[in-house]
Amino acid sequence: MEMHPSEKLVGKSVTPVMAYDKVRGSVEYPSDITLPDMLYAKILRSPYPHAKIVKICSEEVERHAKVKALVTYRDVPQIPMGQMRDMYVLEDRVRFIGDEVAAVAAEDEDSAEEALQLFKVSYEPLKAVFDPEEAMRPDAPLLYPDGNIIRGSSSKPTFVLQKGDIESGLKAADVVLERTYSTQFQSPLAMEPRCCVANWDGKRLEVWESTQRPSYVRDELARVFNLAPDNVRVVAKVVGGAFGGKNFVQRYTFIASLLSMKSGRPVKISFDRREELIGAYLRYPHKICVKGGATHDGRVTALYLKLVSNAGNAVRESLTPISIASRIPFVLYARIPNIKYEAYAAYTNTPSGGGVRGYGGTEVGHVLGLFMDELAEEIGIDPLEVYTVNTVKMGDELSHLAPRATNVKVSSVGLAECLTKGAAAIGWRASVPKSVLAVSERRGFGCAIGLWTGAGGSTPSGAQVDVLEDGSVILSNPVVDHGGEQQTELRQMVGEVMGLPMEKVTSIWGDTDCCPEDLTGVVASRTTLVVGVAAISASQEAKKKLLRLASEYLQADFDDLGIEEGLIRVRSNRDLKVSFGELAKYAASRGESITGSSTCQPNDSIYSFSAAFAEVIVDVETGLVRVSKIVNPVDVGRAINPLTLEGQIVGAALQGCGYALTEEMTLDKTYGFALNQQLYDYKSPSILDCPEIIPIVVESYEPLHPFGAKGAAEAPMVPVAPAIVNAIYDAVGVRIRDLPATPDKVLAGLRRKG
Amino acid sequence: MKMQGAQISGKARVIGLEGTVKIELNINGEIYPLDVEPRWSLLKVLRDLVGLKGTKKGCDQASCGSCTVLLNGLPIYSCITLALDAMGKDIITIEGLSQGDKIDPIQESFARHGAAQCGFCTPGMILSAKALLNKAGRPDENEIAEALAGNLCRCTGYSSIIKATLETLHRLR
Repeated sequence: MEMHPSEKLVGKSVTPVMAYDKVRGSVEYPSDITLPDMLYAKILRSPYPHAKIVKICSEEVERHAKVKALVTYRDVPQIPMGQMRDMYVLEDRVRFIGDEVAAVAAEDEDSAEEALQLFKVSYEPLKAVFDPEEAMRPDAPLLYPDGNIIRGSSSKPTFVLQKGDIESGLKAADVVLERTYSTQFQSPLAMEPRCCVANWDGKRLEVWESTQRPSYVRDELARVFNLAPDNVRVVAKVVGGAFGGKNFVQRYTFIASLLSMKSGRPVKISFDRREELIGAYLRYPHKICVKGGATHDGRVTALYLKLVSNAGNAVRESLTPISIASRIPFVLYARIPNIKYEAYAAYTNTPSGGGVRGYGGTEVGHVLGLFMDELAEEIGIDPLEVYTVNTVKMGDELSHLAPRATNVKVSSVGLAECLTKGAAAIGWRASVPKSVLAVSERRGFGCAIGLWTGAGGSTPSGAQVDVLEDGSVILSNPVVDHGGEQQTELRQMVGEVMGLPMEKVTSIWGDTDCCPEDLTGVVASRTTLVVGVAAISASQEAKKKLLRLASEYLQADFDDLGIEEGLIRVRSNRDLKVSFGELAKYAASRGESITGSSTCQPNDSIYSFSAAFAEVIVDVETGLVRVSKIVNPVDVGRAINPLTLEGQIVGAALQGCGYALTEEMTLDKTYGFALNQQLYDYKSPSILDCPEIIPIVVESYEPLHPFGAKGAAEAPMVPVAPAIVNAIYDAVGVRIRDLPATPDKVLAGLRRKG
Repeated sequence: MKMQGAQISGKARVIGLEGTVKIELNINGEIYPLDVEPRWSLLKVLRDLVGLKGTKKGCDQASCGSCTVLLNGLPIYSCITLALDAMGKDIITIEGLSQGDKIDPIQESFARHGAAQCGFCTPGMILSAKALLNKAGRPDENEIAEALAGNLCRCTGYSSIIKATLETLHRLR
């Protein structure tokens, strides 16, 4: 059934606007940028997990014929950076194996690499700590003077949120369960290792950067180098994947900029794959204790979560994953009356924790997915009942916003539909299909639920629409394309409002010199709603101006005008018409332009919901788990472009499979360095690991978006790993409480069971 | 604290052959006279000397497949192939699949199925698929997966890539 018969673009699987450039290989990524006279820089990294730099002797480096500039901690502005203001461009202190020590820019990459060996650095090694719980002890070596527990102490959590009373909730329960889970470091693993090119011309700094947030990088560069923001330009149009890992600022951008200032030439820094894996960000690992109780009918009466999170060597990026993870208990499980969420984040001498798809939510969503499955078993009911009874319903008040805002109600929830459609698609609790299994194979099914931000972020996004003299419109927006192809859906929305076909809508984006502001950037599944609403409002304003001008031009009544395919016609006299192009020329002749611009705020009351149903086959002899099917229903409000949307869902589902089974950055226990520093031993799913993935789009129509849409990129990932791990239990009766569920853990569980 | 085997910075210092040699490479049907150092990879020569940047560097270690090109019709990792070893062979890069507005059917299918998301793995992925399509026979889904197993993609979950390849196969056969 066609639900929106009048819509021509929204809801259609329009071919992504950059697809043809991408398949030709003609898209320019940051790593493809080459400027005349460009130098290549390399970063010297620490061999110690924790040390003070006593002395750096760089005379030999300077004598290298091809070296044009170098930087050490002595050359950098003493202005702290990052959300916690806990890092400098370089320091006389290193805090993990791989920390930045110095950098050189040379005529070619090999010479830069060679010159790095010529630095003579004297280190004074310090005691190091790699485990967050050990880091929290009073006698632990300190990474920072204020203590290892970030914004807290052993008695004060980094972040806490509560409602009701846990003790009385537990007393009311028939069943009480207490479990401890752990999750691992996961790499975002974008296919393009990050890269930046900085060019200082003596007055202005231009940077081509692998970032999801050009406006923020520009502001930080301006602040640290004491420049006017107008004198910094950051360009990021198409980035080779990000998944949260290219969020925020990183030292290398500032190092490249400094090297350009010192050499007077453009400087490029490209991370190699090893740097990308360990020198960038990883998903925070957590140890999570959960205590909860429920009555026999499945009502959870109390839920207490205590997280200890490894923030790594610096909060280079953000503490947000720690706080925002509270949305899983507080929003998803809104019907639980008594909840306490408390999180300790501690510094350790390991790589940095940071942003990866659905950060915080993916981890806590995983753990609660496992816990609810255990709780349901203990009570003796289907986990779907636990999910149904305890989760948020339309109109429920969002308690996580209190006391900032009270009486804010959730405005669109498609969770129930996700569960019913997903259960039907996988055949939940139906008789098991009789496909042939080997003697050692066992089949199992599992499910879990999730949610993530549908309009996330902390600052507004802008958009502008201009009607051009050729009759087309151009949308200026801040949205970097790192794989979401959001330019396509944005143009669809603009075209729909303006009554134009796709080919008459173009856009410019990803350049702070000419695009609207967006300090939060392309993160938190926010583009469809936040930038989308800004683009729609801007289009409506431009359309109103067009109609007003047309009414004057055609000498017709404003209300008698209609728009079709770039023409404005008088309804009562269809021969009277004027094109957008003619009106733009008419406006120009009067010194005017036909423009609309708008901004939109993110909204912490809008969430996208999801469920996952997994079918796995476990080999009891090898412990190997094969995921044969994932059904992944997602409430996205409304599908603007089903093709690109399903791409997000299927991609997220496979990342969830990797998180569940194979992906883990393993650290050496003595020195804390990453043992798997390359793609051949960090196991991201290949095409051969790919189960059948069935995306299901659920449309709950979010009222704050004119077309009903909300974000979609992260919510699908959240329930996938717990569904898989629950399915393993269903297959062989082994609960795997520490991710990833590798064969050794499955076998150990089988042995324990006897 | 004593550190062993934990040095992260720096690759082995470049020793040995210095200076360049003159070679000719046949790339996308054109002959390119080039001065290359014998140790340079085909990937480096394609990107930095010839300027064909559709071939991507994702790992430089034969683990991701972003650098895939066709050598005499077979997909190879150009990051671990010496430019010298490509002499006398037909090299096809992603740029060689299209001519002006005319693109290869496999490119058309990838575009329409949304099989390119960030697009960084796409050129290598398309060339691996192209090599499969160039062979006789009707590969099934499993054989397609086998043929593309050397190319990592982090965006798509691969299902659109398999669909695009299958659809091209149906159209061509």
